[in-house]
Amino acid sequence: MYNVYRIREDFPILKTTINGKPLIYLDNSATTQKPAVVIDTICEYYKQYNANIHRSVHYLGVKATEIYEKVRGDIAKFINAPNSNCIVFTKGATESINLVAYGWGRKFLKEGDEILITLMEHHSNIVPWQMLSIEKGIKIKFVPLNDDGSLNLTAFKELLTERTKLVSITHVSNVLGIINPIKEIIDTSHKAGAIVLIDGAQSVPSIPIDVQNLDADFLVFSAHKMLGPTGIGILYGKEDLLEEMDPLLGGGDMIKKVTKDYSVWADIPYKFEGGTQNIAGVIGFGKAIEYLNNLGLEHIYKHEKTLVSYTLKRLLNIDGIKIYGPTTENLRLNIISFNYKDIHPHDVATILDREGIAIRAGHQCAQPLHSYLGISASCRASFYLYNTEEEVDKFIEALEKVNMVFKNGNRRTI
Amino acid sequence: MEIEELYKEIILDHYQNPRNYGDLDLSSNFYRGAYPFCTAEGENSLCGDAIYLQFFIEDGKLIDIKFKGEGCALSLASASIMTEMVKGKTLEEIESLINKVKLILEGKEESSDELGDFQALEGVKNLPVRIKCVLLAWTVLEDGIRDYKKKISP
Ligand SMILES: Cc1ncc(COP(=O)(O)O)c(C=O)c1O
Repeated sequence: MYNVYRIREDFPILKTTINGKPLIYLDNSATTQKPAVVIDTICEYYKQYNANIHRSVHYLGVKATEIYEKVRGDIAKFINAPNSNCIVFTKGATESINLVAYGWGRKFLKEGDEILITLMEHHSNIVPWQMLSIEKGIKIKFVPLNDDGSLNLTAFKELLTERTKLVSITHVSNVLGIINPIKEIIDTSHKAGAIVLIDGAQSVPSIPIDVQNLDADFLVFSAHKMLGPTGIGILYGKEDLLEEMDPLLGGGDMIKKVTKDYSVWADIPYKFEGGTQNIAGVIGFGKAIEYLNNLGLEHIYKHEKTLVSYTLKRLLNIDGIKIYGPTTENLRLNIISFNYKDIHPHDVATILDREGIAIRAGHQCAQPLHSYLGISASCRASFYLYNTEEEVDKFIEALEKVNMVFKNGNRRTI
Repeated sequence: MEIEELYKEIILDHYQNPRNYGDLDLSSNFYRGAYPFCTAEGENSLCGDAIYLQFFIEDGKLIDIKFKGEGCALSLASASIMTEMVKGKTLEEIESLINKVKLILEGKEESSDELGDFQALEGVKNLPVRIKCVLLAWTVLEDGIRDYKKKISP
């Protein structure tokens, strides 16, 4: 039985008050809170077995290395990767995408090649490709959206040509909450001869993912959006792709042999992990994965769906709320972006903050999507496994307060 | 601080009924001899706030100003208040006013009556993330005046 009140007990921060009000944290797409077990595990590492990995033969070094490598295996299982060699530790989804852009793209893409992304991408899945395109003369094409914000699959198929070498696409939009049909996208892309990178930053925390069943070529995600610490993320890649990719960082730990004239790189995944790694981050992430496994992702997913459909229903009853993306919950995960009358999102967020409610306001690192929607900013409420319907009720009440502060008025600019 | 202390009546009034909003009427006789016609713009990339100013300077005095923009209540109210305050002042007076506004928002100086409606915005100094919203119009004007000076004495 999924008991959200019991789960909340595991999160120390949920007991804090903000401006004298209990914290209601609805900014989970930016980063999630951490359960005590994750925080304690990180402290334990520093207090009891802090040592560098892969380098020392002493007890502490061996223990730290063992746990670090065990986490790699746990993460491989979590996404059903064929083995742990396919799991590269990075500092986050952003670095993972950059690693593919430079390690793979720089090596294999040529002038005239095309990369297909979508209008709903996070900046981290746009900017690295733009940087690469300046260097390599490749072309970036954006798949447009349908009126409800969903991906225009007809246009996608038209844009996919023999020049397309890579399709890089988010599984779940961090603004619209839309779940993209990635299985279909991967199959179609493969038939056209392109490989596919899935940005799982928003989906891996809530949707069970099987990279082998999907036949994904790359999958990237960040620990901090799934109960883990900041500064740690994953690049999953098919073994043959990782094998042929170049590393980004040269240095210690990523080599087999160094001479004055040349070096031989280590095997995957180590050749991508130059320098001392974020050991505490990896160990903390391992605990987060264990916590998620204990709850069961399918239960978390169901919980979020229930909250989103409840919130949508309540929001749609408020006069002047404009919701972006589909208003039925079946296409959505845990995210709702909206605007309230012509009140600027920053004013909404400031007033909610006085009520102890944390939401996101701004362009949410998705400016091309916001321009497409014809707005410069939006408000975003996003849920995770510890949010409750009572919190949604408070959030809705607080929106009424926003309206009161603004006295129901609109702007007149004549 | 209660939220109503931030979103005071006066601020909402400037936000909802902005003063000096729109474009200057360039065909008007009033501006003959005034040279040059100045524009300045700036944005807060993080928020998407944007302010666009048009103004005329004659004999070292800012004789007219209008603004347009997009943004939160605080940034637009601040712009509206600013246009009222700077109109008719000399460039030196305006520059010292801009400095004063900055010091107030940094908490280094108290506001006083000479700051008129701007006093209502003083509470923002307790909300660091919003200070740049209030400052935007003022820094845009500061840049505009700097450009004007370069233009007349390069
Ligand atoms: C869809 C999506 N992709 C990528 C990222 C980047 O993640 P990180 O900042 O952890 O590298 C985010 C984070 O907001 C995201 O929402």
